[in-house]
Amino acid sequence: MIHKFKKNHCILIISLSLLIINLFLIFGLTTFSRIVYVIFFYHVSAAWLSYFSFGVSLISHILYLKQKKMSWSNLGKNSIIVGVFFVAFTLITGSLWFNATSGTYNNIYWQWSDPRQTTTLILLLSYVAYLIFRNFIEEREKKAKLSAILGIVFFPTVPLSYLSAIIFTSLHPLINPGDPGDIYWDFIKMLSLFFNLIAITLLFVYLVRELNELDLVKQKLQELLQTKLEEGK
Amino acid sequence: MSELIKDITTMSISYVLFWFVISILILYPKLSKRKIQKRINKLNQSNK
Repeated sequence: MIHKFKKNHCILIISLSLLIINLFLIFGLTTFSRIVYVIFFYHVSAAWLSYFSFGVSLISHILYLKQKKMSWSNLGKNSIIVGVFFVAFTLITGSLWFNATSGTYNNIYWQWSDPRQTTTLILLLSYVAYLIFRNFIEEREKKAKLSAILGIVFFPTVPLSYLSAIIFTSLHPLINPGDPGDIYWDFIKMLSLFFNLIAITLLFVYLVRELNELDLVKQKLQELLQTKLEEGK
Repeated sequence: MSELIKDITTMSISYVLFWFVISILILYPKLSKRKIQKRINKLNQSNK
């Protein structure tokens, strides 16, 4: 238990240290024409983490349906919890960024006609619905099975959100490697972004492990309550 | 308000929000686990 505790906390410390070191890298070494472009590092990192989380949840749900192990179902659910928080953050920062860069602060935060914004909102609402639905089912096996199916059904919203800006006409900027006019593409910026991606992925590992442990403690409590109830009868 | 101040405000909101999300995600399982663990200990004590 102590070994487990130390290992998970090491992951957290490394992740947070990387995020803090990267802050100095971003402000010390990268240059932008406007300071607001710094949002780029956090917005992209959060978007990556949310896609990654939903990818992990898809694999976990498929594995649950194959092996019927409760730990896969819990991993799928916990990945979705982390993903939902980060996709919400991505949407908020995207809106703030849009307002800042679409003109000179015209208070335009949302464009329903923009496919990236709209499909990402659909993605967020789908997975929020998944969490609400999962919470409503009492029976453990039924809960795991139905939520696994729902998790798989909702996954296409992830590639849809990602590809929407590529396939359709979108206001969302895309990184063009090698383009000298691309304000996001240079070695230091990509290095900072890469640093952030590693840090945030490690954070994901820590968070999911902690949430899995919480599930185990909850299960222990339920078993104790069940025993007590049976003793009372 | 000048554009620079608005830029700094927007960037700061995003940055604070980033750490807010991370803090919630770190604290939620920790606090919940502590609360449940206390309940488990109480139940175990009452069983003895």
